[in-house]
Formats: sequence, C-alpha cells, structure tokens
Amino acid sequence: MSIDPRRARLQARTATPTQPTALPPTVQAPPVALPQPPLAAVPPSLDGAAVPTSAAPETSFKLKFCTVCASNNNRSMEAHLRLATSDQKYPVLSFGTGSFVRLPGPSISQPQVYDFNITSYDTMYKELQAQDERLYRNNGILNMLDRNRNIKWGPEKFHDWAVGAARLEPINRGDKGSMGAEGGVVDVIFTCEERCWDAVVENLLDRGAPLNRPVHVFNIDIRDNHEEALVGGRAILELADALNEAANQERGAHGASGWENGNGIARMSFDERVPDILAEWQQKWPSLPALWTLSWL
Amino acid sequence: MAASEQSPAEMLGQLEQARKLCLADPSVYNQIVPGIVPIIQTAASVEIRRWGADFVAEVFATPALPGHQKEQLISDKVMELLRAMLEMPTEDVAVVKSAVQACASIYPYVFRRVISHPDLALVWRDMTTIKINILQRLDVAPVPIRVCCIKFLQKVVQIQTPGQIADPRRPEHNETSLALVPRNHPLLPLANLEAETSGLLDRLLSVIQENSTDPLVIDPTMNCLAVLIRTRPTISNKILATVLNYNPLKSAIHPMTLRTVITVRSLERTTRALLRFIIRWNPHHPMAPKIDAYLQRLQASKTAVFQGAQNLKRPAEPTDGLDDAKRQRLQPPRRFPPMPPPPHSFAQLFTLTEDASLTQFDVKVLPEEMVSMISSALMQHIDSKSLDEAIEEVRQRYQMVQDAAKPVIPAAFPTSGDDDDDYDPELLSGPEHAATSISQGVGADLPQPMPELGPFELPKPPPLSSAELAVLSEQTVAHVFETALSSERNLSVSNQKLGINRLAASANDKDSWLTLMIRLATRAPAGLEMLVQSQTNGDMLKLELDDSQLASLQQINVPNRIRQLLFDYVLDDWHHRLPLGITWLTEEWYADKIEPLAFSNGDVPMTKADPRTPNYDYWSALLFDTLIPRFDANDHKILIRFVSELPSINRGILSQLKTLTRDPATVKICMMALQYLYLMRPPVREMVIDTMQEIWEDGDNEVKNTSGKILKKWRPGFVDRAVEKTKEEAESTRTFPNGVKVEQIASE
Repeated sequence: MSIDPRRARLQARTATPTQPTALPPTVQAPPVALPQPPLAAVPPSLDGAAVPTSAAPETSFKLKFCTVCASNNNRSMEAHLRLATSDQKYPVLSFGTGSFVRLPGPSISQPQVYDFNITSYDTMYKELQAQDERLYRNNGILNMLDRNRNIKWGPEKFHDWAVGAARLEPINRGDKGSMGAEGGVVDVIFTCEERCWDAVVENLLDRGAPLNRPVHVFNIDIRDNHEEALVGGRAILELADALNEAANQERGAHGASGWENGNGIARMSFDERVPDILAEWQQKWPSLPALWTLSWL
Repeated sequence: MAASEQSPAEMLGQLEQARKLCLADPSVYNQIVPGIVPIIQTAASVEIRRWGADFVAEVFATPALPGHQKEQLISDKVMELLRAMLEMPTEDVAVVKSAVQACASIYPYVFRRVISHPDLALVWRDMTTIKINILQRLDVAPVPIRVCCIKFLQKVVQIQTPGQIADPRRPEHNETSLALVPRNHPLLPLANLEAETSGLLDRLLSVIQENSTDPLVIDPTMNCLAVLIRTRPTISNKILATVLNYNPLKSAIHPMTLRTVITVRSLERTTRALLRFIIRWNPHHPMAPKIDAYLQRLQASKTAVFQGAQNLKRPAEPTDGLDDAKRQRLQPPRRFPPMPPPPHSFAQLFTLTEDASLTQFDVKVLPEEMVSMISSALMQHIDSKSLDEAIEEVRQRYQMVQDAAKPVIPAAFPTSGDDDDDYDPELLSGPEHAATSISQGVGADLPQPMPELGPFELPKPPPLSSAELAVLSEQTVAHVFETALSSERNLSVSNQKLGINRLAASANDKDSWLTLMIRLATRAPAGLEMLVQSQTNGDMLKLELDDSQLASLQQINVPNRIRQLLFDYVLDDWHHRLPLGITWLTEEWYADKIEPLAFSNGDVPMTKADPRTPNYDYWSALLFDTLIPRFDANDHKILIRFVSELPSINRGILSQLKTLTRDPATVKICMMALQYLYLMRPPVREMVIDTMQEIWEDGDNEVKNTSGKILKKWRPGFVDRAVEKTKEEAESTRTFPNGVKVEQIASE
C-alpha cells in the first residue's frame, strides 16, 4: 500500500492519541453471516413499513439516493442528512471520490489525512479534539464530524462500493438513511463537484454495468465550505423531492389501469421528465450549475 | 405463504422479510427463489408483481451469489415468469422494466448453461422468445422500458461476440461469450449467432449513427458501450468509429432554453466521458490520436456554442439571498432633472421633480396654517440624506445661474482644451502620429468660460482641409488597428472559422476586430464605379486598367491606409499571419465582385459579373511579390496553402511563382505548388501547364529535368517535340543552313 508522505508524517504525530481514545477494530468487524442479526433488524423495518401503509400510503415508493463529494464529510454528508431526515426519509448512501479523506489541518499545507472505509467519524472526532480542540472547533471541523458520526459510521469511498451487495450492517447500526438501501443499489446519484461527477461516471464505465440497472447521475456544483454545503443540501433535497414526486406519479399513473386515466405530464414516465425537472430546478438555483447523465450500475 | 386471503400489504411484508434473509445469507437464495416465483406468478396485485420483478432482477444481478449458483437458479419456472411478465399486454411499466433488467442479467447465465447443457431446449426456446419480445419493444416502448431494452441489447451483443479466453483449461474462469460455444452445438449455431449479433450491434449503434439528440437514448447507449469497446476487440473499432462520428452539439441552436442547455451538456459530457475513459484505459489505443483530435474539436465547438449562451458557471458572488448582509449596498446617487434653458425663475430653480402635475400645482391655494402643518409634519419624517442632496443640488443650480449672469465671451472656436470628447487622438496614438496637432492652440489664448454654464451650443468646427483630413484619418486608422491588435484573444486561438459568414463585430476579440478592419477597407466605396461605366459602355474585354484607374488604387485614402497596415502586419510575421492575409484577400475579391453589381443598380445580371477584380489583383500581386523571395525550401506547406486558398489565381501570380525556380533550393516547393494547383484547381489548369512549360523553357538543366518529367504527364509529347526541335536547330546551325524547313516541321 502506498502511503501519502503527508499522511505518513501525520501518522507519526497523531498515532498516540488514537490508541487510548477509540477502538475502531471492534466496529469494523466484517458483516457476520449469521441469520440472527438481520432477523433482529427486520421487525423495526416492518413496523416502519406498516405505519405508512395504514396512515400515509403516498410514500410507499421512494427513490434511493446516493450523495458523493470528495471526502464524504462536508457536502455529501450534509445532503445525506437532509435526504435521510426529510419528510420522506429517503434511503441514502454517501461516498467520497478522493484518494484519501482530507480535512483542513493547522495550515493549508498540513491537511489531516485519513483512510476511507476504515476510519470512523468518531475516531476522527476524538483524535482532532485531542490534538487541538480550539482550532478544530473554530474552523467547524469538530461540529461537522459530530454531525457525521450521528449519521453513519465512517466515510466510504465510491470506488470501493460493492454495488448490489447487501448493506445490512448500517441498518443494524441505525445509520441514517440506511433503511430501504439494504439492497446496495440506488436510483439517483448526486455529486457535489464536476470532478466527482467525472470520477463517478468513469468508475461506472469501468465497472461495466454488472447490474444492468439504470441510474441518473447528477452533479450539483457546491463549493466546499459549511455555508455552501447547507445551501447545496437544501437544493439537493428540493431536486430529490421533485424527482421522487415524478417517480411516484409514474407509478400511480401506470398502475393497473392508471395509464388510461392519467393525462399530460402524469403520463410521461419519470425518466422522460428528468431533463424538465432539472431545467426547472436549475432556473430556481442558477448559482448551482447542474449536469446530468443516465448511466448504469 | 401463498395464502390468497392475505392483503397485498401483509404479503409484501412477508416477502420483504424473505428478501432480507437472502440478503443476509446468499446461500438461502436457492431455497427461497423457487418458493417465491409461484407467488409472484399468481399474484393479481400490481404491488406484488412490481416487487417480484424487482426481486428477480436483484437475484440475478447480486454480486453476492456466484455465477454457477445463479445458473442453478434458472429453471423453466423462472423463464416462464419472465415470459409471462413480458407477454402480458396490459402489464405495468415498472414490472416490464424490472423484467427486462432481469433478462439482461439472466441472459449470460442462460447462455452459459445452455452451452454446457445442450439438452435445455425449452429454456433456450423461452430465452429466444423473450429476446424477440424485448427487441420488438426497442423502438416503441415507453422510455423507462426502452432504456432497459438498450442495456439488454448491449448485453446480448456482449455475450454473442467472442471474448478473450483467459485460461482455456479452466472454462469456469472465463467470462461468458461466443468464444465458449463449441462448433457443433445443437442449440447455438455459431454462424447464425454471429450474424444476429452483427445486426443487433448495428441496431444498438443506430441511434448514434442517426445522430439522435435525445439524451434518454444516447446517454444510456454511450454509457453501456465502454465494456464492449474494452472487452470485445473484434467490434471495438467499429463502435469507436461510430462514436467519433457523433456530434453531441447538434441540437445546440440558439436561442437555447434551459432544457436544451442541460440536454446538450449532458450529451456532450457523456460522449466525452466515454472517450476519455477509453484513452485512460489504453493510452496507446490505435485510435487514440483520432479520439484526442475529436475531444479537442468537441471542446472548441463547445466553447463556441456556449460562449453566447448564458453562463452556467457560478457567479463570482453568490446570488442567493443568504449573504445579503455581506454585500455592499451600491445605490446610485439621486439624479435630478436639469433646469430648462435660461432665463430662470425661482420656481424653476427649486423644482427638483419632473412630475408635470406637481410642478403646476399652486401652493398658494392652500391656507397658510395647513401648509405649515404639512411642512412641519413632513420635516420630521424626511430622510436627512435626501434632503441634503436636494439642498446641494439647488445650491449648485444657484451657483450656475449666478455664473451665467457674468459677461460671457462668445465662443467662436471650438474649445479644444476642455473638449469633453472621449476620444483624443493626441493621447492615444503614438508620438509619430501626433506630429500635427491640428486644432491645438487655436483658441488656447482666449479666457475659458466656466464649464457649468448650462446648455451651451458648440459652434460648428471650421471645415478640415484635405491634408488635415488625411492626418486625422491616418490617426484614426492607426488607433483602431492598435486596438485590434491589443485585444485579448489571439487570432490563432479562435475556435471556429466562420469565414465569410462571420459577423464582424460579434465579439471583442482580435479576430473580430481584424475582420472589422478588413471589411472597412474592402467594403468602403472603392471607386469601382468606373468598372460599371466601362461595362455599360460595352468594353468588357478591356481587362487592363488605364493609368488613372490604377492611380486611384494607390491613392491615399482610409481604405488604402488600412490595407497598407494590414499588409505590413501580415508581412511582420508572415508565417503565422498568412491566414489573415488570405482572409483579407478573399474579402477584397468578394468586395470587388459585389461592388460593381451594387453600383449598377441591378442592370447587370449576376451571371455577367465583371471578371475584373482591381483591388484584389493589385494587393494579391503586391503581397505575393513581397512574399515570394522569402519562401525557403521548408515552406512548402505554407506556400501550397497560400496558392490553394487564394480566391483567384491569375497569370501574374503564376509568373511570380515561377521565379521560385531561379533558386535551386525552392524549385521543389514551386513544383509542388504547381502540381497541387493542377490537381486541385481545374479552372487554372491550363495556366499552370503553360507556366510549367515556361519554366521548362527558361530553366537550367536541373529544372528542365524536373519540370520535363511533370510535363510529360501533363502535356504529352511537348518535351520530345521541343527537344527534337532544339536538337535539329543545333544540328542545322552546325551543318547546313537549312533551318527554314526544319522550323516549319517543328512548328506543325
């Protein structure tokens, strides 16, 4: 494994506080192939599914979303939170496309560098808190990590995402947005930067579309700071709501005999409406330039 | 599980539970799938059928289950289920969509299983029926299904094209492809499959070939081609060639709606992503240079397309309402209407509004108490800043009126010192142009009136003498030319050659400025009326211009001044600026052709256009004469380009070209240029052959040798005849003075 020189340097510096504070190995134990834990996890999901069918049948179908930024910390996590905690409680996955998780360090040339998939937000939080609480509190990193550790376990890399592999562990952990995403597939991917969009589209080409499942890949250009991430998260949720509504209309209209009853826009399929929805959304959010393609998982 | 009295919601709950079990432990799939299939098959509820189709698609797509286990899951029942879903005429779109997805996933496993089990005729028959069913939907199905059909098509092409055999001894490690099918398979005849695949590939690529602009068809097609290009070498070149012929910017026609912008960007970026992926995957791909060129071209035309369109990049300053507080408030100072021309009344002095009804309102009709009440109430609420501004305005007006009351010196001359004009040639042009300051000093000694005198009519300037006019126009031309050259963007950077169709002032770059200059020079009245006159007089054949006409071409006027500057500019760096020179000469030629027609008021039909192009002839000859001595042996490309792109070639130019043969170093490029003209410009072919003949006649032995070879092809027999003639001449002079007869023979 190649080691980023900056990272090697930092490791030497940051290794000591890690040991006493957190025990990541316990969390990163591979998913055990025992039937019991998933069974234990099923009842809550059934309860969750039963409530809407009796009370609010309109949200029985939800699009599954995926948010992607460079480090899976700021923009994608803000959007993840927004989508997962919205009224619709969308199933959400989130990833980063960078080679490492990079967080701002004491100076611009000394970023804090972590590995994807094996470092939890909690570890990062405790480590940075121990290093220089004042600094990381003031630049908002600790607040961000605190938010993140309440959403899911740790940053994941898009390229290591085993598409279609079951994701039951996050459900057992109670990660936000994990409910409904257990199949490991999504309908829509939002990236937060053109670079990430390129990386995602290229990675999907590289995978060769083993699942034969279409996926809409959007890019919403958001600058990497806390304020813009908030705005961007709101905008992404709005787009997601519009897409989800269209998808639900399609399912409603195309049901048993619905096709005959629907008319105009409702008759158009969800996929057909995507460019229009995006155009409408772009008009509302002209400062977040959008990009879109229809790719394959 | 199959209890029919259960409500769909309850059943879904149970099914979901079974699915979770499978997700948690893939090894239970082979127990659960056979149990679930009949439930879905018999289910009436759309919800259950949707779930079922999704589930089957998931089962055959999941990476958790190894290929051989998926093969074992294939049964008549599963195939029947998929067939039923596809064949039911009123089936729900979502169900069909997932069923097609499942078919795309299951196809490789069915294919593989049939390869090893030639007895599974039933399964293969079902699969074939399904295949036909899906392919029939390709053009007519609703978009979501159509998209999945594209993927199915791609999967079939992928499977039915020979792939690479990684290890012939261990077939289970090889990916499924036509290469695994034995020659004499009873169900899978190789020849038929190959033929079918080639047809399917054409079908898959047809949307790209037709240059469709629907992103919902193009994007998924482009995005599924990568794997074919990468793993199927036999068809990868065909696919790449098709993609390279695709123009994603076709639908970018201004004005673009936001939807069009999004669509065009999507098409463009998707195409680019695919090609960039191929280049990254294999930088030494045989088609890499072509791909690179395509990407560059795409970038250039994209810039051109989106230049005028609204900029989608984020603005320098965020425009959402959040950070209003951070932004400076930039309110322009209040503007008051100017006072009417003198004499002024006090009312006018204090009137700061343009509202006519307000100005006509007489306050005296109000009782005094009311006025004082209103004004004191108003005074409390008035904004002190705007009051200050109003007071300041009135003060200035009063000052102005007072100044106007002083005796004024009548201004007989333009007040050059305080000239408010934006343009000052003395400041802007270089010292060499500033030599004559025409109006300076004329009124400098006179006391200057104050500037704030209210309306003031400038007296008419004295008429300029022709010398002054010449100097001023020269300064103007030089100034505009400098502006043109100092514009930011370079001519060579311009992305798209619009040629004669470009609008001169379409952008603020060098290219458009220079075009503007060229047009100013060429399209200005160029004194071509004389041509019309001579034409109407009927002496069309008199192609040579007389002296007075020639003189008018060299006369110093604005167009000629620009031409001279253009000429100097091109010459300065002729290697790089020759394209500009060609553009200029083309414009000259065009203007020469068009202008006489304009003067003739349509009397002369277009077909009888004047063959003379005086401006073009003069300047092209000048440019050519000047350039010819500068060409050296390596300039063949530039020379050929020059002679090929000139709008018209005449004997003068060819005779200049001929002079290149005087230098042994440039003989070759001269020959190349002439050969090019011979091949590519048939109208001048005769002239070229004549020129070659002259070269042969005038040249030394080496030149004779080279040109002789070419002439043998162009004018067969000429060289032999000429050689014979010279020989006989030589002989006759040597032996007998019998020349008369020899000459007669030679001339026949």
